[in-house]
Amino acid sequence: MLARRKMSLTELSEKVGVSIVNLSILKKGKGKAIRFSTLQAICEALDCQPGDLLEYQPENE
Amino acid sequence: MKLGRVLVFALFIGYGALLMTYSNNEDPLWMILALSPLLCLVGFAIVGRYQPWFKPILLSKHNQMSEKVIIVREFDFEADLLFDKLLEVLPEAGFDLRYANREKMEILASTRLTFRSWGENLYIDIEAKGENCTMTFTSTTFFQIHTWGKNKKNVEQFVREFENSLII
Repeated sequence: MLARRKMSLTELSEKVGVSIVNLSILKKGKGKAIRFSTLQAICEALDCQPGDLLEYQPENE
Repeated sequence: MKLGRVLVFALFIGYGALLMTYSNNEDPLWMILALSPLLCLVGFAIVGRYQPWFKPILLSKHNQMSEKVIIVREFDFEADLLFDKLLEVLPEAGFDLRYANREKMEILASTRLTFRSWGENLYIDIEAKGENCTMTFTSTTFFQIHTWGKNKKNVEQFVREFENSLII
């Protein structure tokens, strides 16, 4: 999604107000959970829907 | 109580007795000699204990003058990412960052020196194991034989705050 919007992680971090470290954690799927407010801010910044960012993967895959 | 701690305790009782015995001595040299261990102690508490070279001394099992609490946790994070995350969380958790070395993957933070406490040093060592990491948190006092669980509480609180910070 970042590539499609031609936006760097640094730019997104500035727009959303979430640190680059936290965005990297989210990008790698290592976060424990995501707040609705964070999800909303990212969707606004990238002009997309939560479904464009989240994907369900069964654990054994 | 361990023998080492008994010896340290006896040493301080002896030092106190010596100070009281000669407290009427007006020779300035004696006063300097008598107070120098105390001044060294305060100097170390303010400057010395934040130096990375002091780590092996403070964490040595032979050091009977400080209590140590060790907590080991495993995270499925890359070491670099975990290192950056720790640097971000430490100030938020009320710790002062004193030293960080990315090559050695070690961090030193401390709680603040107050009138009631010398403060604690928190050493964090990260060891990469493939895609996972082992983090060793060691909280140690500078000059306190027993902390009545405060040391343990500090390090557990930090670990909790670190884990909570993964809710983004």
